[in-house]
Amino acid sequence: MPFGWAGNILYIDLTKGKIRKETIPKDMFTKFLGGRGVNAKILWDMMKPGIDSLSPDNVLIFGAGALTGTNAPSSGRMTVTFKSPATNLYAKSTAGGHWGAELKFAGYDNIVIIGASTKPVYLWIDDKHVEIKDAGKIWGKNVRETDKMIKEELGDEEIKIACIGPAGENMVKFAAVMNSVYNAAARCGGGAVMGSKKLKAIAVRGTGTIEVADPETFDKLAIDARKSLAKDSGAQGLYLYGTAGFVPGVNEQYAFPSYNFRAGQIDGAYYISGQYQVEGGYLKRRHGCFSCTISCHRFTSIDSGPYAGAYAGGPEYETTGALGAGCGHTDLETIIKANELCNIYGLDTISTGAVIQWAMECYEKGIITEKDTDGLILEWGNSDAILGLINKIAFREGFGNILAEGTKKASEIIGKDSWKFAVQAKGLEQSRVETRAAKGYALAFAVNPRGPDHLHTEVIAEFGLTPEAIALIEKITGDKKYARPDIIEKRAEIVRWHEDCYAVTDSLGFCAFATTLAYAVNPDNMAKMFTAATGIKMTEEEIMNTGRRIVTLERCFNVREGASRKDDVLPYRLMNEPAPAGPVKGMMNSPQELNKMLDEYYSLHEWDTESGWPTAEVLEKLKLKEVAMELEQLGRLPSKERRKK
Amino acid sequence: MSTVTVKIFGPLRETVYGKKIDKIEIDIHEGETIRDLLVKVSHIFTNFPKISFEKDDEITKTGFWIFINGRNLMHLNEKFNIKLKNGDIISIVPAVTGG
Repeated sequence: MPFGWAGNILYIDLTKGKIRKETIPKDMFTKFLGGRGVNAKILWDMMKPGIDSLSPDNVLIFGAGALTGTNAPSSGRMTVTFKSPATNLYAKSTAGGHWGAELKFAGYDNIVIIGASTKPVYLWIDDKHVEIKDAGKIWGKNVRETDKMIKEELGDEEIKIACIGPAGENMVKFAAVMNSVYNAAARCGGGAVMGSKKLKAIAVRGTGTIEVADPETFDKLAIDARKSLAKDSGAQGLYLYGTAGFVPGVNEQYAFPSYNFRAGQIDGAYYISGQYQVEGGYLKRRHGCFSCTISCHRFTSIDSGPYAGAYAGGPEYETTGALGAGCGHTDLETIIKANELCNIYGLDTISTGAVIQWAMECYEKGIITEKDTDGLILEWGNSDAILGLINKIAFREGFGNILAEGTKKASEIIGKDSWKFAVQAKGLEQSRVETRAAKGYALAFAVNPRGPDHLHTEVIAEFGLTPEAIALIEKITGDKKYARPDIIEKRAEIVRWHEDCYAVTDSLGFCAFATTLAYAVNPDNMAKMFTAATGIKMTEEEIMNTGRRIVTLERCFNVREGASRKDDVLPYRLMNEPAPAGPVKGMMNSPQELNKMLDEYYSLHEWDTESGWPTAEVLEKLKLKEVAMELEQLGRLPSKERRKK
Repeated sequence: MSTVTVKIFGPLRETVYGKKIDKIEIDIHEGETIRDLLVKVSHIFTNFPKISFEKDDEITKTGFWIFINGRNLMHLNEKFNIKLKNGDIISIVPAVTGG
């Protein structure tokens, strides 16, 4: 058995009902680390371009991080990789919890699922024993019921289960892969892909261990990182108030998207903040993932009132924005209830909130009426409408069937000018970041291969809110004066560093909160922990270069699917409508501004600036020659040399 | 006489009069600065730190994020010496950092 990794991939062919276990070739690890990186390479190798994302041809890959299962702090994350039914492009979606570690203890790093079953099934991994089991009794059940029934059937409360709810079964384009009460690999419709394969769940029980090459050095590094994390101001804040603790500060800066991104501030935002979750008595428990001491997860419940009895993990900052301020209200109980419904149906809260607020704007403008919405009154802030629509979306009922397609497709169906305020790009709804006020995020969102989303390149450091963040900006750019979000200078450098760091973070299994929000885990100690764990020497520079390789490969996947510079955009509203108030009043993510940042970004990456495609030279440098050959055959491989001629 | 609005959050909202408020309008004289305002505000709100507000690093140690009209004070050149104008909105947010 290798050190750090478990060393095995499981291949599951659901069409043929076949299971195969293979050892992972060593260069897969050294070139792509694990988790997200190895998933990306497998997706590249096994996927044909142009396939239907909801057909048996899609490849669905689960991967635990290279260091997942060790005591490296905050290293328990797992990645789900697939072609997205929302964007028809590359998608990786990550989640925390304990499922990833359990998979490693069972003896596997990755699970690759191809084909589709004709009947509902679930996968049961019990150490060496792997079985495709009938899911007839649990098909149709919600996430809570599914988790309970599988544990009862298999007779073990310690089983970790990744599953879909009704939303995934109904192939809602933003259905999530759920994992315990607290965790969701939510974005891009991975749940729909699972549903299309009639795969209800993957249940794992692992009783093995993960060995490290140099336990003494590794333990010391892990303990030092843990101590740094305890002192980090970002980490302390996350423990106290969770991600929604950022709401008041962001709202005061007019950077909290409200009313479908029409405003950057909403009155009363404090009353949906992480601080108010505590003050109002809604927070009942703080919770952490495997090996994590930050413990940012929330467990909230409602004791009285119309939603008494509602409980769920969360709500997170994004959920608070998507199902709260974005829909025009600041009622925390509505948000907690809506969050509960999304969790038990298995829906991405960000996209769910986004499509609801788009529909509210359609209703306000008279583009749709109660006749179209099955009688629901889609006025801003109407809780009944929000909760009613979530139910309809999960089961594709009535108007919910249109919304279940996502804002891009829904706006094509509804027509008129509704596409102009569908706040999406590439087919993915934008995360709750007011990019007109945050230029680094604007660039990061435009170039993100999965769409305008933050969990790929979290450049929160550009806000300069903590001493650690300011120090990082100074390290990347040479001057702390760049630690402000309202300028375009040096954004390419800031985004690139974060891209590489985030790819390493995901592939090793670390949480981005430890590496790009707190900074106690960083490329330097990640390289050292990798070396001590696996016995394979990597410097900080080498590990960041590996991150670069993964980011570039993901780009190439999209190039192969037909994407180019023209797809690196932000939603129409943010590029064409000025911010209404605050310090960025009148400003937009204008095409001119975005083009300038894109030119710098592509140059820095050594990609062709006209097409946004990686060049032959940079693919050679990154040892992705086989990728270059395939792109060349498609006529999508620019070359600096050829241009010179 | 000019007026500014101070928005306040979390445990800072408790006033010395026992009531919790989210915002307050405060009259200012010409030439008064953010520093002067913080002194005034510290006498209204119970949980404000009992410091003189004369030294910048003493103020930043409190862990507040202070925004003026949505801009982070630490990004502006004059910081606590900024002169207030009629209609300014000053937000005082306890940082999501620290214990």
